[in-house]
Amino acid sequence: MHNYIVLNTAFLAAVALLCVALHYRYKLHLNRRSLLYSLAILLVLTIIFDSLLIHLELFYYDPARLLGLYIGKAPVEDFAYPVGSLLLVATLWEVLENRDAKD
Amino acid sequence: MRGLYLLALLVSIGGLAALDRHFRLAFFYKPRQTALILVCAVALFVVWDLAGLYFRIFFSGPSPLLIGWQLAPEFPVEEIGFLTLLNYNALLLWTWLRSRHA
Repeated sequence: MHNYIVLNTAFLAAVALLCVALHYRYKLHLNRRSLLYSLAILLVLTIIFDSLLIHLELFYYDPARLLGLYIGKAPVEDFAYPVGSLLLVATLWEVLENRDAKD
Repeated sequence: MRGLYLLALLVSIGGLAALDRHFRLAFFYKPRQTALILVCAVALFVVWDLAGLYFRIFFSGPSPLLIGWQLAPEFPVEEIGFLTLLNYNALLLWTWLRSRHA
């Protein structure tokens, strides 16, 4: 996994697999529009703040490990983090929130 | 200024907590459920980050805004704060919007 796109695809796929498994196991109903709106807001925030953090040199990347595609100053691969985060926390929330009603 | 990044992260998390408390979204609705989810999510992203560091994809930067404490080589303490902020933010967005389009 010597480059960022491979690493992030692997981790995001693992998170997605877990969430799909939980979705079917617990018969979840995540409202698609709510998910999309949440994601849209989170992505906009990510573009802004990821770019800011990179600009402030709080961290940096080896360019040889990147695709070279950026949104703002953020490498596109970075967006796997907010996608994975929302998917994970939303799914975990629904699993635990509906515990009394189901099973 | 040293530590400014960490301060900004804590202020941001505090701001989210204020919104959480006002709208009773997550921690101020079901604290243990919220804490459990955030601990699990941050743990996963710590592993993700450590993998990125292991494969030398990214590095801690030279910024003077960092406080200078590292939990591991190239792993600044601020990263825990950032991952908490990211996941708490995502969770609050979800809990706020989840029943709005039902």
